[in-house]
Amino acid sequence: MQLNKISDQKLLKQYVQGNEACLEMLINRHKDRIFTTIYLIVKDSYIAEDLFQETFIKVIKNLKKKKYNEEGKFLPWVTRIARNLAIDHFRKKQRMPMVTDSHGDDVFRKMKISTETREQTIIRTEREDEVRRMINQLPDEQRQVLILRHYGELSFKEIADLTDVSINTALGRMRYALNNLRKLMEHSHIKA
Amino acid sequence: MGGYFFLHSEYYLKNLDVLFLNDELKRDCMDKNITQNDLLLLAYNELDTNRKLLVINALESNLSLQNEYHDILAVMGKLDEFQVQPNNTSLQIILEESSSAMEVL
Repeated sequence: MQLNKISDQKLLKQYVQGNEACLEMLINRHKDRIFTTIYLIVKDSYIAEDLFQETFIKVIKNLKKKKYNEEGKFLPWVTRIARNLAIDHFRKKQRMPMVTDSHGDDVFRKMKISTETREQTIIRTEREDEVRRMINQLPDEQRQVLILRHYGELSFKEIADLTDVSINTALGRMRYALNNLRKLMEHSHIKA
Repeated sequence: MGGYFFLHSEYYLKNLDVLFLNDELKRDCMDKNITQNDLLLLAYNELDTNRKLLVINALESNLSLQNEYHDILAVMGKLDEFQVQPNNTSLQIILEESSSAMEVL
């Protein structure tokens, strides 16, 4: 059986039964989406790394205690844990000051070591920065729904429950978020 | 724009059966109010099967809806361009934590 065809549920089951390799496969499968979600929430790569670790340590503890019972919904479950940890972080630190450049960008994100050429890195970071800046221009409520739905893969119903609003409100915020992003793209002459 | 939509909509490729709906159902579809929320839910694959068929069928015959749906997919595509990765150190820390938790058990 191809590894990428094994469901999250099977991997979780095998991990709980003692197969450590299954956790690594799960993390590798979802790490980018989860990290992107956290990073967009906290807007700081160092804090995002810490929260990413904390999130998975909590995931591990819950799995070992057999507290996970959400059939086939691993990624939304992890996203909810990550979001709660991010909220706790802001409560504790009252928004830590970020190290940013003149545009308000997180400078350490750009220092990421990779196998890309310099030119590839510049193009990628420019493209990422454009999208991230546009997302950051959205009102908080719209931004939150967009991050949780698009990157965190929570359903609109789950987002509505989590943020204590109706599903129509969650959908409305997402509609406004996408409309605003489209306008920002047109304004910046970005081709979608 | 309609041609563009047909070429780029994976939903048509995944739901070819909807193209063969009978005329009665098609008329029924035309009578239903398709909202922006429906398009959003379709784009994120959250519609139940019946509603999904109605929305896809309405899209087939409504240029305005096609344009709206295309706009949603276009922004979603742009959002997909932003994806950042955690450091390998973070992954190692997590896996070590898992191993030690396993030893304790």
